[in-house]
Amino acid sequence: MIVLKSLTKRFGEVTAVRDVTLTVTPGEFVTLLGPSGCGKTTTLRMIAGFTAPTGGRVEMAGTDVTGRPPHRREVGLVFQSYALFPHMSVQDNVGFGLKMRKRPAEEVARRVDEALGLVKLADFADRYPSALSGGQQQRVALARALVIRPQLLLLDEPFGALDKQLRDHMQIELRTLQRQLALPTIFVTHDQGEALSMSDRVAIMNAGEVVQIGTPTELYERPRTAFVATFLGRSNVLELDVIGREGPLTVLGRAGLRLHATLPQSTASTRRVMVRPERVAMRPPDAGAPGAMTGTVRAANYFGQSIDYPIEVGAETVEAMSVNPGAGGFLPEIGAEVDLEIASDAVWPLDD
Amino acid sequence: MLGSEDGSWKAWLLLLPVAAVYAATFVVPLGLIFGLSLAEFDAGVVTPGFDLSNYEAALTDGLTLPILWRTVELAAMVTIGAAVMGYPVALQMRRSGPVLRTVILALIVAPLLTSVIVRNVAWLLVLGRTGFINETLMATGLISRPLPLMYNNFGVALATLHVYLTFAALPIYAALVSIDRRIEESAASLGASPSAVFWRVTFPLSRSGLIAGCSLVFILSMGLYLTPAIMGGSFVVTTPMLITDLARNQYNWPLASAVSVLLLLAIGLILMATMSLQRRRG
Repeated sequence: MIVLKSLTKRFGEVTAVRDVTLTVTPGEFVTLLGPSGCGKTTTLRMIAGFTAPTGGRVEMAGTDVTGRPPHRREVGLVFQSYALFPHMSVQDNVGFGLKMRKRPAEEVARRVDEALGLVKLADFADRYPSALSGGQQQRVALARALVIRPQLLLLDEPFGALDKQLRDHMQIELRTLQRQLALPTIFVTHDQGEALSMSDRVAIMNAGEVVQIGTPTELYERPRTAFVATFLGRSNVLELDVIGREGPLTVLGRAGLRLHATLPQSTASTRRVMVRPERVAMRPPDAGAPGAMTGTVRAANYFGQSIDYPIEVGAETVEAMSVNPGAGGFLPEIGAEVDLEIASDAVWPLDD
Repeated sequence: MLGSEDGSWKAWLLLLPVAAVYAATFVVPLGLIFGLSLAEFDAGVVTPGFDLSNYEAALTDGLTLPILWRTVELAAMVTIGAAVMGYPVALQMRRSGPVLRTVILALIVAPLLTSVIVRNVAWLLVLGRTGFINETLMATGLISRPLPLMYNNFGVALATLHVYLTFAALPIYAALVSIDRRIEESAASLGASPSAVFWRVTFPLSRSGLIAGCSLVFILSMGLYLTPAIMGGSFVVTTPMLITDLARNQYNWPLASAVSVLLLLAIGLILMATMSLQRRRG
């Protein structure tokens, strides 16, 4: 179990990381997600021991390791640049950590073989890093980190330098391996897709602070703030007036927009809510429908599997996304009028 | 661009000026010296020819080879000193912020900006029998007789090291800054202590810079002339001093040329040996 308690780092007047508290349970894959400069890399460096925190603690397996130098922390580290030892063969790279631990040569050889087998590079033991592709180097870096059987695996944007196909492949491979070894892992990335698809839990960071922690579903469906709503996936963040109540639902609206939402009782006269584009349904205009919300299609951005439509409703623009319905489906033209339907459970209130 | 197939000859054109300068100041004179080294010399008269007697004389006179050996010894002392002292300087430059780095750079480059004569006279004031160091040590009673700090290899090597340190430190620094810090951090995270990180990662990865710096200092030190003349009195004689004496005082240009060729050969052989050692280990 890895515990970060109120971890803080100040550089002079600037607070790079403020009060980060996080627990990684055995076998859990936790992602630190945030824009560049949000403090995620500084947090990782404090966990690895390269940067001394100005406040707070890092605990591993119940022991406070905050003051421990990196070489005595039992952390496996994989960087975006792989950072292989260019002057050593693949097997010497992978065996480095074991040699540092003064393991007998026979054990080093056996465990290096095992680790290279794990990442499917058994035939590359004698090569030098310069003779390997990016994906292969990445695997060597992973094997080198895994072979020491670390208490924690730290991954610093490890897929950033790979092309898309290889990245998708490596993500699956890494996650499978991590599950198989039940290795607690902290993964740092700015790629929200990567974070959603790989993590057990995601901690979203902004301006040095963790703004929300949760499973990918929790964060996507129930973001607390507009920052989380817009950083993780796409969303319509709308500032609406509270108009009245219809049974258990609150009616919100502004200039042609009418939404029904389940909101906690409050005396506020305006509310900020979020609607995901894929929850905005479009239909051909039907003048007869009671309470229909009509808008004008401003553009159609075709992505193959889906089409994005910015739709103007009164003074607001609502993003709608349709999964490609194929021939015969409803695909409005630019400039056309459409009726919008947004279910009440698609409207999520934000705290800020 | 310049390397594209139809434009490649234009790139070569750009090298013409430097080729002309090298030919005029280096290749041609070197050829002349080589030709002269094979000429005959008798009572001040030079007769062109093809004759190895100058080399025979140089190798057997019991003077040229010991001086050459002493020159190699001196150059080796300077080189080792420059490497041992330059490496920590380079390390510190890498670790420092931009301000301190500039200060260090200015300090190690400063001797190069000082005239060789001024610099050596200043050393006399420091190292001489009645120089600053000896006077101080005598006054404190730590020594009763002045230490022989100059008029020997030590004094010459020290005064040379002072200038040539830069030529070792800068290539080492260049090699060090090109090392990705994350490589060293990876080593640390794998359990390498700071000294293990240095000896197993940083040092091997900076070796090209160390070799380059040492080669540079060694070549420069093999050509030492003024510093040993001043700092060595008549006690330290280097091959370049011998060559000058042969050419200017004895007018024996053929023998001077032969010794020059031998000096060039010695430098070449030692550098080649170092390179092959490096290649085998790298």
